[in-house]
Amino acid sequence: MNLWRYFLGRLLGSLLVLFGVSILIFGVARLIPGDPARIALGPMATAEQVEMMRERLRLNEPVVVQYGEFVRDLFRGDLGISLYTKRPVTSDILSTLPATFELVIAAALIMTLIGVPLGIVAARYRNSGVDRAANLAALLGVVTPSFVWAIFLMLVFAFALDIFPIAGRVSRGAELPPTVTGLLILDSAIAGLWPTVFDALRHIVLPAFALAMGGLGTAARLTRANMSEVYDRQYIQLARAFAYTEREIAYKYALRPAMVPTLTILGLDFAIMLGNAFLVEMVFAWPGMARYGVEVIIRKDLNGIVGTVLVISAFFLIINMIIDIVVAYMNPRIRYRDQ
Amino acid sequence: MILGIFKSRAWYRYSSEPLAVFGLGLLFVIVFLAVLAPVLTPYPNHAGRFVDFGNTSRPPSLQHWFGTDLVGRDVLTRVVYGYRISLVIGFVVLGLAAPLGVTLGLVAGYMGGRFDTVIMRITDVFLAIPALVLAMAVLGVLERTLINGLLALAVLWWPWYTRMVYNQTRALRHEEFVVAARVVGASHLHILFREILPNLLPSVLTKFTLDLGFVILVASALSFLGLGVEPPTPDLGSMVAEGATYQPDMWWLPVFPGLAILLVVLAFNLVGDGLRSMFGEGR
Repeated sequence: MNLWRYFLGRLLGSLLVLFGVSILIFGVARLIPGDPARIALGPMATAEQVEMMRERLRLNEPVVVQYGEFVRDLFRGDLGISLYTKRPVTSDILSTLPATFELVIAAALIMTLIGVPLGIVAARYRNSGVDRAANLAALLGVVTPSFVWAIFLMLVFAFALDIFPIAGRVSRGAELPPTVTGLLILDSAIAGLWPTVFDALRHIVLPAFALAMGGLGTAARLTRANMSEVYDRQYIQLARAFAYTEREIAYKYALRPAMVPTLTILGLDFAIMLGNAFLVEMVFAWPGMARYGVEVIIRKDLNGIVGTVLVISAFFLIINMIIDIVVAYMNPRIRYRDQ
Repeated sequence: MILGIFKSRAWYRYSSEPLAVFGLGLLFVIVFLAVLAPVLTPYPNHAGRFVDFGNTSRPPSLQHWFGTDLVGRDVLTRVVYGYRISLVIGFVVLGLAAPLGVTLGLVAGYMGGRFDTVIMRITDVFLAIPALVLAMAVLGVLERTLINGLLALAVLWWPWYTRMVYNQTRALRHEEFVVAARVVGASHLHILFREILPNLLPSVLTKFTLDLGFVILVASALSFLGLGVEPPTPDLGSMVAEGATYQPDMWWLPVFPGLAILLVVLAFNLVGDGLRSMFGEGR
């Protein structure tokens, strides 16, 4: 019961924040110097055409009215027409979002499935060679921008060693599955197209690793730090005195309390990845939101910018909400405290 | 006088971490190179609009340690000049963001009530947009000048300070020394900046140092996307972006500027970690 109340509270809070984000980004987009309609139509357009465009974009109305109309359209899933592609922003984003999402999910999996175990090993064998190596790897992961990782990985594994493909999401000529989820690997698996699944997996390895390296380091360092703290507690000593095996102590008693603070930070890393996906996608020509996002920004496409930022922020908030709820489930003190 | 630092207890604690000392050394080298770039670099004129079509795209050699770029400029020279811009960006952005964020965090945490609600909700909104995306959007709508780039980064960095200082201030505001100051009639301003703030300085300073690296990292990401300073100013991020198109044949074009970014962020990170354990916050 308590969990439900906690969930509703968080949902409400997130919606409020999203509302704030929409005001913020709407305001930022209105800071564009010059006339967005003129920018969109180019210097050749006549004054009448510009005026028609202003009318269509509702630029002649007060900003508050503009925002009201914007929110009303938003509830119908309408983010306006992109001034750059001349198509609805919603469909532009929907056509590129799944590829980005697939990449970010793959990176998050790598970050968690490699980073957390690395941290566990480092914590169990504190100050050993493994610990120091993990620490160094974590440090390098954090201090290297993802686009530099992307270039290094590409040079070594795609060009020099030729193990993975250089760019793209799937080889040309591969048999493509019907769209169900939009995630190519998942769709291919559903359709039973195993050669395509394999091909797509080979394509995603390098970009996903490039994107994951930063978070992977953080995940390992955090897991190690939090577990070390737990290891210093008395109940671990007690468990040792009762002759529990080191393995049991690590996984049954040290890991779970250590994961609670770690999970929260991993949520933040996920957000960073949504942003960094832009960089990695540019290097690997990944057909996600990056090209569109950068293009609308460079062309000062009002609706495109607002839509892109809003969608990314919404995803970020949803993910953080899910993580908060998982954390509250794992650590009952949080749900009780927040009431 | 200055050498006295090396005899102090703080230095003793700092120097017990070999990595922190290494980071400090690395940082000194980078700052030294950046400040004295016109004297130290082999071809200072290559930092601007220089072209030498007889000498384009040369691989690393004794004359050009990092090779030359597509118009024949020395990559090493441009990397060192790139550090200049990077360091300026780091210090200016945080010089704006940190005082603003710290002040807001102090006020929200100490005053509570309406201040708390308004400031912290606004902070939440800023923290809900991935930093890079927010900076891209702000930079996208403004004219692409260095000043606007600095502003965009400052706009996205203050909330982190606000949140950190807010949490710590809330923990401190009912401490006895604060209550005592209030009893003897100290003003809110005095309590905020003379009583509470000094307690927070170690963590603010640590974060500031770590963030110098991360601001440089994000700034390079923005210029990698083509939202940085205008050419021909040497900028590490845009050098990587230009070079990326020509790999693997001209691998030196993206690799050396990329390594340069890595090293400066690493240096600030190591020094920041060293400060943290020096202040006794280490885990």
